[in-house]
Amino acid sequence: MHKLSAIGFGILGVVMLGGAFDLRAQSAPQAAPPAPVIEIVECVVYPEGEPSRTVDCAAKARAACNGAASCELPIGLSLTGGQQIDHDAKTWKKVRLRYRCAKVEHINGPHNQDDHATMLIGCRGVF
Amino acid sequence: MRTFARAFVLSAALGLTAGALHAAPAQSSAASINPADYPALDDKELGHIRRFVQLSKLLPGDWSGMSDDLYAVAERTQQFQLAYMADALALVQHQYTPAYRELYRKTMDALIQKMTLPDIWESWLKSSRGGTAYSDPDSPDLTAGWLDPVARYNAMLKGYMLQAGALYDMLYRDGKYDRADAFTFKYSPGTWGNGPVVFRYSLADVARIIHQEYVDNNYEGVLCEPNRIFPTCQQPPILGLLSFDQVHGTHYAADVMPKFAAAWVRRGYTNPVSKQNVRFVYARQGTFEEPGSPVLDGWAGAWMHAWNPTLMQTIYGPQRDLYVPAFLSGAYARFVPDVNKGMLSLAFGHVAFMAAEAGDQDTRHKMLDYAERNFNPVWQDGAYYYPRSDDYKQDAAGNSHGVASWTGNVLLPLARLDKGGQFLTLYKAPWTRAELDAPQIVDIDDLVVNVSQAYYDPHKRALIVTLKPGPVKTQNVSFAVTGLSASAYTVVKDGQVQGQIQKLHVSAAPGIAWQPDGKLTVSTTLDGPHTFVLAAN
Repeated sequence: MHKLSAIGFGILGVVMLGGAFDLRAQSAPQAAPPAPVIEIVECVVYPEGEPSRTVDCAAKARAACNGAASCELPIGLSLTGGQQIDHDAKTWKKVRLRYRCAKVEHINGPHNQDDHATMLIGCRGVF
Repeated sequence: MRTFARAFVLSAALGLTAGALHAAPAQSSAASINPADYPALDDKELGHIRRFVQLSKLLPGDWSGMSDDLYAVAERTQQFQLAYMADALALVQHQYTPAYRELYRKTMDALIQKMTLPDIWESWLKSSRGGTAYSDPDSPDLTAGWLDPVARYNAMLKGYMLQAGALYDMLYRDGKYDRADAFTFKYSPGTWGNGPVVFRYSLADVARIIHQEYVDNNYEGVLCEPNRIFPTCQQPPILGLLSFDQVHGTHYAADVMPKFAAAWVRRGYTNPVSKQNVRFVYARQGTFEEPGSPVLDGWAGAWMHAWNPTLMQTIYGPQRDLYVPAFLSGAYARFVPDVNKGMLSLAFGHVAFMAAEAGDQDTRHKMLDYAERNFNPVWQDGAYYYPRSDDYKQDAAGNSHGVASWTGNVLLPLARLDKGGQFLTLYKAPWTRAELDAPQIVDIDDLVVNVSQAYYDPHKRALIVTLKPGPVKTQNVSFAVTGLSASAYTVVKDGQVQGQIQKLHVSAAPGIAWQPDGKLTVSTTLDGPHTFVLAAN
């Protein structure tokens, strides 16, 4: 019971503190820090099962997404100049992307290279 | 009546006496049109359609009334219910109420779009992994699988999307399914996987991919899952290609149908003795799983009749004789193991639909009567359906009362709506410009009105409309008519000539008015059914 009370008061305290913070924010508005934007670190395409045999696609990814808060990047053959990197349309190729939002690094992929697919990346969380 | 009389007077004053001179024979001709000669939906059929409409309006993620205890069906049954309901609406649109489209159009679209929700398509990630027991006995283990539900295989989803989407396209030609994002699949779980990704396909993409898969597989079938060709899951994609060709001028179905039909015979997809179809073929090994089952044979047969009735004529009778007496006597109910009892209801529903499409009225009636006695149908907010029941144990007479949602929501309704070869007719007679541009009724509040007749007879240049009260009661209703091209019409209501209406006369008759946008609006009480005939003079 003691424990539950303590937890209850703790939660209440956090809520109240939060409320006070909100009030202060409303009474004395300050310039919000700039929202983080996407900075592409790496984009690679490689044949399934051969992750070391990469083709660089960072320039295309940067052109499409750098500086945006969120971005939908097509991950089809446009990443590799319209060509299958192994000249075989029947095998899967994988696309992997690493990008930064301010100091936080994120990864999306590997996904199959697919002319009907776009990768969603952004600097706002899912939750 | 006074307004109507004034219109006549005005016509005369404007020198439109020719119309008045012809009024008597025109009225006589209009009055001779018998609405009973035209297609009409009965109350149960209207109730089934209202069930489809209600289910189409469920919020994303809400599958109330559409669940099934059928976990052997890896993709569950909702995607099939959605597709079958859309197909059923296409049938009704094409052959019962072609002059009432707004409700069917939005409902078909809503049902098709639900097939792109993650609850429906994400199961593909599991199915795409194959495995040793049911996919590829020579594989060492599960594979990694893949997300994209259209790129390869998965005819179980994309074949049904193609069929329903192409029917929508044939009926409405609004370009919606030509769009590159017609089918958009969003993958965005925040707890597992390799990050958010979106897949987008047009109807043309899906048709092209499916056709290519037939070509790549020597026309022996598209793969429903990795390494598995079910005769059952070949039928919707073929019908989808057929509709697509009819609208887009391609020749996919013309290429596939004869070659696949030949492969069916060459590979022996139908057992020559029992006339049952094989369950499925392991593509790589070329081996079959036999024998067939009423679920798979009924599932295949109803649709196959719509493009290959010749083959169906040779196998339907033996299949019916094998399955239907066992359904009606309870013998089949004793045969299905408890762990899979839902299959009993699926079998009943598929075979009933097959019997209906095959035109076997005796069997159709027997099975629908059996369903009425044993499957506890309900009316709910104007909808009529057989609610899911897991009560599969047999009663003293040997009857099981279990109902799978797929069967209760749409398979039995299809057996009622399809009075014989109506899908065959649908696929033989796609709408042309003439049907697309024909008069139709619009602006109907579908909560208060059931439209049981809406048919334009181009030979008599007459529109026949019957309205019935819907689940929400009201005193008066109105509807509008578009596409009327003649300059004068005789209006008949419930068999009584109301008079003539001249185009451009704002107030044409009591409750009838031409609107500035060219529509004719009609108001009426709705204390009971009312039938209107608008016949060009």
